[in-house]
Amino acid sequence: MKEFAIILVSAVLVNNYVLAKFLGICPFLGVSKKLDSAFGMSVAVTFVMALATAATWPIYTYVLVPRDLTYLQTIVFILIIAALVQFIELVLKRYIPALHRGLGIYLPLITTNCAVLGVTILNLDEGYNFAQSMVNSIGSGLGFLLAMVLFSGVRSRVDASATVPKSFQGIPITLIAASICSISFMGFSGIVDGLFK
Amino acid sequence: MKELLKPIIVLTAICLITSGLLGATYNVTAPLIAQSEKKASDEAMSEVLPAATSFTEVQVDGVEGLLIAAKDESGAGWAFKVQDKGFGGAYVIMVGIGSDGKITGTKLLDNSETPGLGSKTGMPSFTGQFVGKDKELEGVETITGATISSKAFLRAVATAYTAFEAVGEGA
Amino acid sequence: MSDLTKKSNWQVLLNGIIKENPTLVLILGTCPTLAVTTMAVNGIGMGLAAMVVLIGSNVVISLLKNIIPDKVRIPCYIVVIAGFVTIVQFLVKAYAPALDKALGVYLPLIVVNCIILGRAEMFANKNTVLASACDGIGMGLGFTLALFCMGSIRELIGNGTWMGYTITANLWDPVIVFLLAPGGFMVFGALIALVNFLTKGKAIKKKEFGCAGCPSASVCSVAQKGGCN
Repeated sequence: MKEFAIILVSAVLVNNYVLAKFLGICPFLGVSKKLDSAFGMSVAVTFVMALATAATWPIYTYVLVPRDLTYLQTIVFILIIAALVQFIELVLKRYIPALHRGLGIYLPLITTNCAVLGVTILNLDEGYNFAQSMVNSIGSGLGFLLAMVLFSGVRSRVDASATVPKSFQGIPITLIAASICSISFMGFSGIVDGLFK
Repeated sequence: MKELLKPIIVLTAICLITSGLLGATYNVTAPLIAQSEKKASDEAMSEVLPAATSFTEVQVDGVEGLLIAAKDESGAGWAFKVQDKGFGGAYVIMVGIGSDGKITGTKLLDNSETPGLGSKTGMPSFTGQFVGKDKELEGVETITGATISSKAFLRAVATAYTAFEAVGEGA
Repeated sequence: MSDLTKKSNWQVLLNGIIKENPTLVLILGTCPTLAVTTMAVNGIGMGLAAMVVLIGSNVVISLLKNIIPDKVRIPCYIVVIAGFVTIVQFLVKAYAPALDKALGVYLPLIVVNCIILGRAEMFANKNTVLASACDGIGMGLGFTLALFCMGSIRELIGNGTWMGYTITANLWDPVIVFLLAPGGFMVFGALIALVNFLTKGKAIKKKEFGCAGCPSASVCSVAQKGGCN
């Protein structure tokens, strides 16, 4: 249990995908303007991350490794993710239309979200087993959610402020705000050692 | 019917051609990749155990984190490649232990530590202080601001000693 | 796009480096821009790796533009791009293992770099092979140049070195935070602001991160309705 707790806390706080590992920056900057769209996007990302890991881990371990085909990793993973996203969209549309209205619009954007492909590759690089991989994926998704939700609050303040110099308006000031958010997350860096050891 | 089949055929064809090309590239580059990895590993071994002449790899079971154990033919000692977990992920070092049980050298290999902080554990000022120490590592100082990386290094050295004892030396 | 087809190949090439610099003007491919630029040399390595993939995928997609059915074009592009990325990955591993270690997971992640899919969708499938190759070279060089600038600034301030040579490290203590995540965001923001300032706000047409530049725009239901915001 302790081992899972360590993975979860590291994924959510210490190695936050957006603010420490720079994965999924496009949606982080693009969809963080309003709280509800930030939340919807993050839930969709977490959902796809968990399902993508559930699909890629067994395929890599039981199909690619025994047949010595590990060199197809990148191409197989991106195809699985693309197919999965399409499939989820179809299923949601057909059977859970309420959820589709909430999450469906974010799904096509997720295929090219590097956080999803990143988490599936990193799980294998870290040598996690299936259960650890799932915990790491969900934790990474929750970390993404936390960063998105916090940052949407920061942005609403920044965008409302009229004192930004002209050259910095728009994208540059958003990045500077992200930088300051990222500094606050650095405060978590020793937390795993402190909590669990 | 043609409308439905064409996309499927084209996509399948592209997948097959790409996989074929990848397989070919893999077959050409795989030996080169293995060679460059082995060369890096061999160089690190001679670096941490300068007295050695040639190494033979030995299979050691039951030591978690041990990647390679290699014995020097002339009996100068052992080189151990050990993996641990650092701040940014996998953290691999090479440790040379002389037949007298003292460290002859250490070297940081693969790591994803923060440049300028954790990566300082790869500097000679840090790795050099292990030379001549025994299992107790008395007097070794960790780097301020790189506690997690330093601790990973110390744990990895301890793993090397576990392996050293497992191969029937030092204990 | 009709104005682009009239341009000479040389103009297409220059266009990617300066006027439509993918990183600093179009604001694409932000993840690797922020992640690998702790050292100037890593920036160049990443830029060149992406450029090889970009040229390769642009040429192949432009060649296949009449064969690939519209419905499955995105999966087809992804397969072609993933193929090139894997080949580049092998070559880097075989001939430049140090660069492979420095780029880590961001090397396979070139697959989802928006610049590459974006150029396939916006340029290569509408233009000739030669123009697409020039576009690939130009965009690749523009990306490399931007990463090199980012890397140089962060390496000099954060580590006191440049391209591995000690410059200011002996004169004063380097500001390590520039090598860490916050420094990446800050330098990137400041660089875009500088481009804004130098061009008096004309270069960057896109004032916000919107859906127009997103490679998924054409398949995305939100973009068709008018954007995520």
